[in-house]
Amino acid sequence: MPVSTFHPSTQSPPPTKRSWRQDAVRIVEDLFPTTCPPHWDLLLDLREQLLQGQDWNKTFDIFLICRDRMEADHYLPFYRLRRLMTQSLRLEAGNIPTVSLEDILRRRHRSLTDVSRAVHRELFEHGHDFQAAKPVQFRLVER
Amino acid sequence: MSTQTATIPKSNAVVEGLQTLLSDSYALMAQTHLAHWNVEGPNFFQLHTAFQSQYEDLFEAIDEIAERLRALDVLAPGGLQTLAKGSRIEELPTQTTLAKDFVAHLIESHEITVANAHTLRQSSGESDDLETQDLVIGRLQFHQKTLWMLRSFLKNL
Repeated sequence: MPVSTFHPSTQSPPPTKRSWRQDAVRIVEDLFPTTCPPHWDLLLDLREQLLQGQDWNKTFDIFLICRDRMEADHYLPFYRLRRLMTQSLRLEAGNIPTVSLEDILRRRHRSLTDVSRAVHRELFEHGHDFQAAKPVQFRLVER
Repeated sequence: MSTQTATIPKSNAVVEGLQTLLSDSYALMAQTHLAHWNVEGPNFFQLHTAFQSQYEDLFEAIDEIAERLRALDVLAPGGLQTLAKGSRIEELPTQTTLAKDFVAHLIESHEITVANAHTLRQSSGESDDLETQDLVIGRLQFHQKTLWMLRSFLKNL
């Protein structure tokens, strides 16, 4: 005779408002021993933003810089951070419908890539040698 | 002289651990199958083939775990909804996903399975249920080997 029923509720709960920052910080701290010292200042800034930051734009900016510099060698930690931040943004936004962090990150990456492509295309179409050209200055206006 | 009893002694920790291992393995098999179908990019052939080999192993393991529960005289949980509730493994949405993200997601899923299987290995040892422990050790070997392969894939991309 069966003696036990199945209790799925014994599983660990998903990250909460209180825990996600600590989880994210732990991932960042684990990166220190495996990254080169020039990246440590960036990681310290990201750690600080994740712990104390109230301005999501600043947190995104420093996260994107870190991701750009380190993700190629540390894909898994940045995947974990991305997922954790995505879930947490929804948590902190409560039930208010909002654009997900995943979308914001994708848009930001896309917009930067688009700008870069557009600049190179303009230089090419106007016959400039963009290897030898002077640094191009442009202003990015986000609307 | 002692005789073999008709029923095998069991503990609740072992039964719950086997139920969780069953749910985790089922969820992981479904996610690996999803990755097998939808992976794209220059590594398509190697990942498509590797994922197939992994979900086939998981499919066989699920049967073995469920039959161990039956050997302990416990009904095996079944059905997609019931098994999904029994696992912390998250489902990827059906959308275009980078091959690297499929691999990273499967790494996380294997890690969850390994963590729960460690607990079951411990509890089955404490309960002197060496047959369950043997099964779990076999499963752990598979998950650890798969983790090594998946993690290796993400290096130097």
